Amino acid sequence: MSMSKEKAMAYLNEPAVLCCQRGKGTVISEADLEDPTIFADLQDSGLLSIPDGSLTVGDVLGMTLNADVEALTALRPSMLEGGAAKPAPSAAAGGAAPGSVTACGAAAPAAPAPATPGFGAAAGTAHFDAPPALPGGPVTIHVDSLQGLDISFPAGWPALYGLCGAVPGAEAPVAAASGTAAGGAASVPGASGAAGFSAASALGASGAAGFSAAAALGAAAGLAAHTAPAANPLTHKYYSVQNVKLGKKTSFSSGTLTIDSALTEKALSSSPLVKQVEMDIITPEKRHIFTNTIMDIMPVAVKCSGKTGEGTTAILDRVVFCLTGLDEKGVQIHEFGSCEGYLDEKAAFGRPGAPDDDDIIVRVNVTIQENTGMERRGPLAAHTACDVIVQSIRDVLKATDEAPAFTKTYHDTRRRGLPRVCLVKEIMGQGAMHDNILLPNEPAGVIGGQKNVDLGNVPVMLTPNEVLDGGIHALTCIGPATKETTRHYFREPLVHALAADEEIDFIGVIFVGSPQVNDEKMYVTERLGSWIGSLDLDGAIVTTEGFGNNHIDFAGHIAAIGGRNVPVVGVTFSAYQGQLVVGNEYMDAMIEINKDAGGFENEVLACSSICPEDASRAQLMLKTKMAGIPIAPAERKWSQAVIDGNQWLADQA
Amino acid sequence: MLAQHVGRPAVPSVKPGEAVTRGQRLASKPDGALGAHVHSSVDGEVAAVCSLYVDVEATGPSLDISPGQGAAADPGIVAAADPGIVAAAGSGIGAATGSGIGAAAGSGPIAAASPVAGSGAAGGEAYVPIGGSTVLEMIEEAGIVGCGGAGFPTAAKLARPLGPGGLLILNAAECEPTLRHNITLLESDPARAICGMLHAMRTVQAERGAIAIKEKHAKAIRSLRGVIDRSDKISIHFLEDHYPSGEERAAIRDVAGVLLRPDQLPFEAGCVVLNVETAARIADAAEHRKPVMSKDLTLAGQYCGAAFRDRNSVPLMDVPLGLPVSALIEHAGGLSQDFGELLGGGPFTGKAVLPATPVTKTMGGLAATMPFLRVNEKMGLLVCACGADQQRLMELAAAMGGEVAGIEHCKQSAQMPNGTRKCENPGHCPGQAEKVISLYRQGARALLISNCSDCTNTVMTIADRLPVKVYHSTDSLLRTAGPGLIRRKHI
Repeated sequence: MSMSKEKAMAYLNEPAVLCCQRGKGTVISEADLEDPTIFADLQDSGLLSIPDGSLTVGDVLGMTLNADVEALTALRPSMLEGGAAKPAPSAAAGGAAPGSVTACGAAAPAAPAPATPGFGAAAGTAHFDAPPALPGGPVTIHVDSLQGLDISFPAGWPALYGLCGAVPGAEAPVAAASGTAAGGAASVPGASGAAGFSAASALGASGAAGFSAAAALGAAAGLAAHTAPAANPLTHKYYSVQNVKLGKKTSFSSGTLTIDSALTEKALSSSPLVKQVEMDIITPEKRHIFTNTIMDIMPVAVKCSGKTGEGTTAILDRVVFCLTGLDEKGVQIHEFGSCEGYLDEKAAFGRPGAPDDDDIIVRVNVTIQENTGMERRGPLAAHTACDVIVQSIRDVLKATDEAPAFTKTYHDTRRRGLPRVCLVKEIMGQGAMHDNILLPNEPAGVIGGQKNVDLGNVPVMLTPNEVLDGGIHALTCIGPATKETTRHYFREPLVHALAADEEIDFIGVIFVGSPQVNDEKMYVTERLGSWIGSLDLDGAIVTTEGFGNNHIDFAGHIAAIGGRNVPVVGVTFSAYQGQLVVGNEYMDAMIEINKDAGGFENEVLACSSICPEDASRAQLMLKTKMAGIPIAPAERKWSQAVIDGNQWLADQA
Repeated sequence: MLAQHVGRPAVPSVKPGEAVTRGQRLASKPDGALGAHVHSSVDGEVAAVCSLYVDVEATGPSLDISPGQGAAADPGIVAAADPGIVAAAGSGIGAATGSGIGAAAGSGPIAAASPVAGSGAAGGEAYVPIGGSTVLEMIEEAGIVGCGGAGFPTAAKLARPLGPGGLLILNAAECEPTLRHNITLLESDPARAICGMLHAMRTVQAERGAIAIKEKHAKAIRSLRGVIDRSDKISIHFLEDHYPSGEERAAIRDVAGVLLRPDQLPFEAGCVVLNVETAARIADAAEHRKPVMSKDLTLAGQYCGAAFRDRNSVPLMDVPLGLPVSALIEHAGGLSQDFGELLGGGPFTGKAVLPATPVTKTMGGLAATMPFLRVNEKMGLLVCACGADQQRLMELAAAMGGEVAGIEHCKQSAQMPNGTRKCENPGHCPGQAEKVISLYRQGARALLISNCSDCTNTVMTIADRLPVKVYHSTDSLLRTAGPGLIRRKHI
């Protein structure tokens, strides 16, 4: 479609293509020219070819057509009165338009390019002097706007911070990475170093970006920041379980967990909607067993002292609860997107949200009243019934005098003075089985928590330790490959990664729901925006689970953050099946978490959920963006190669 | 009908059983509100009153539907006066008339337009004259609303004087491809329209007047020149020949060179735009104290009547308001084939009507279309503010049997606070590639579009290359009765 004046100014060096048929004598304006951001789509569809020698937007604005020209024709000198002198090709291929950093690196060759300074900056606030060959030798940056601060560091620095290809999957209009570098970024192309990774972005720095580069660099150089652990750290005591059996009385001793088989009767009475409760023990070697759809994977954890997120929590190691269910008619709970089948084929073991390879699984299968599987109350009743059983074990565990196998302590350390980073986790809140229980009485429990839907999906802040201490109980396993289970939150890799990151001040985790109705989505998005504005953030990562409808919220949340000049990175499953249906200018740094070869929601529990590797890429992507370093535009289609390339960079860092 | 206009419905001022005479006010505009009076188009007796309509059974002499001049010259039209038709009329709900048609048919289009108030000289031509001392009052008394289709009360439109340099535009665009009645009026009685235009110009203190017309309407232009050559205030301005074209802001853009935003009103450009028929009805009110009792419209489709023997659209002048559209079809000799739908209005902006739907002050056309084409592909709907809206496209898609794969709106289609849409720059395509590709991606292998001819050209150019079939919302009618389908302009 035709462009606005501003857009045309940003795309002066892109090919000039008529959006519509125009008659002889037309004086070409931006209203006659197609938006270059859709050229790739047009070319993919065979609608457009841009022959060599075509003119650019800058060439043709104000020129007059000398003939009638068809829609979607790339303009050539012969079509214009006076023949519009075509500038030398080298000039056209050279620097990007003033203020734009889009061009750099996107087409960079895999081999390190010569460091021809491609200064596109309108005002040169930063200068890079890099030797042509990057391995070895120093890189010196001189930044005028930081009052002449000179920093020298090893050339390995780009591998640590600089190189990060944006991950595609962003079907949305995210082509321009120009939003990141406010006020004149200088760029040095090349500097790839990652063989086969062609999406390496150019290295650059922004002297005027909101992020305090000095602080980050200062931290890297070992300058002191004011670090303050939380007053009450969280200690997880893990009790090793070697054997689980059903018996007459619930007990835990010498590594053997015995569960009273009559607890199913107690669970049955928890809700009139619950019609039958069965329980069995599945050891790792017996996983080739049919299972109804997996509704959740939960740890067994109990508070021994303190509130959620502080004090001591006892946790059973090597055992998890697995809730499965169907209704009286035999319909799987969350039919469509359910994952019934052989257990060994239906879960991605080892993911944060799934059982680990050597976990013993206590399976609780709940049959609920017919036709309630798609209502909120049905799945909630199943979770509540299961929690009755878990609670009995919690009671035993709380009183145990066994010795823990090991302990882990989390300090919720605040690093004041460093860039303030927040994690925004979008959770499902559309009703039916899409709900989450926030801050139950017991870790990963049900009782005492507030339901996200009832809270109106509005943002709620949790400390990192509250998240890791079972502050979220998830009821969202329709589309199980991309949803986050209760255990996922308990082991959320991004929380671990950001909490451990010594270069940032990780201020907390905001949970925000994804409501059903568009008006409510906007309401929630605005509330998040107000939070972000008040938190004085330097960066944020937004994650979502699932795909499709929630991507509307996802895009809205990213815009609410990016629109407040806070660098933001998005993390989602998108790939092939979940291509973004919406997008905006702030969605230029996206992390793809797909793990399915074909890019589908493959109905394997937790398959395409956030893993530590994804977290490391998101972390690097955010720091890159915060530092004002250009991020190469996403490729048009989901490409595992880009993800692998980014992963390589993250691993190096 | 009590809501034939923009604003509040009129409030009935008659009771069931009450005898009314032609021209008598049946319902009044609420005090202080935007609205318009409604008058009886016949002598008769009030059969029913409700909040939606006043139903009048005609008792007086039968009425006249005057065909346009060309048709009047055709002896075949006389068949329309066949007494057999009389029985067919008057069956509709909401009809303000139950009269027959015909006796005076063939008397020519001018006769009905220039009666002498109260004279009763010709059957059905006498009427109760309106009051009012100024032209503006008379316009309000007469219940005049924009006849081009919008139905904005004309008195409200003219109530505010234009500033210096004010321009009144007579909109003779004949906005839809099947319509002919406005041009017919200018061809046959240009003085009436110009007379109304001058009254309106004086009312709003316009310094200049411009007639916006397409150059191809040469006969109308010739006849206009015969009238306005005596005026140095009124000029003729040619419009681009595309459809639809009557949009008020487009007329202002083309004549005054000012493109208003969709949320701006004409007076912000120092302009007032009046449809040709509206101007003529202002003349009737100001010169003859005549209320609005009838509507000019164009009847399109394939009918058995002789008037349709070698053509498929005939203008009908001064059709009594309230007449059910079935009566018009009977008047045309009945349908010659199965039809897809009855369309009130033109092909772009018309809406489906029922046989019992009454003629209103804004009904510019009636058409019976051919049966709908069947579509087997999944359809993408591209909705344009200039043509059929989303609802209508969805209805058409359903009628064509196509599953809807996706819906997109033209980039220039701006949503107004009241939910309607207006085009930001009518008739000037903003490019459609992104929308077409989006629909294609959503699985559409056929498009149903409602764009103007310029945008359609772009869509067709793109669709040809994909390939995707393109159907236009106007196809059904234009295949039946059009000058040609809205399709690609080949260079």
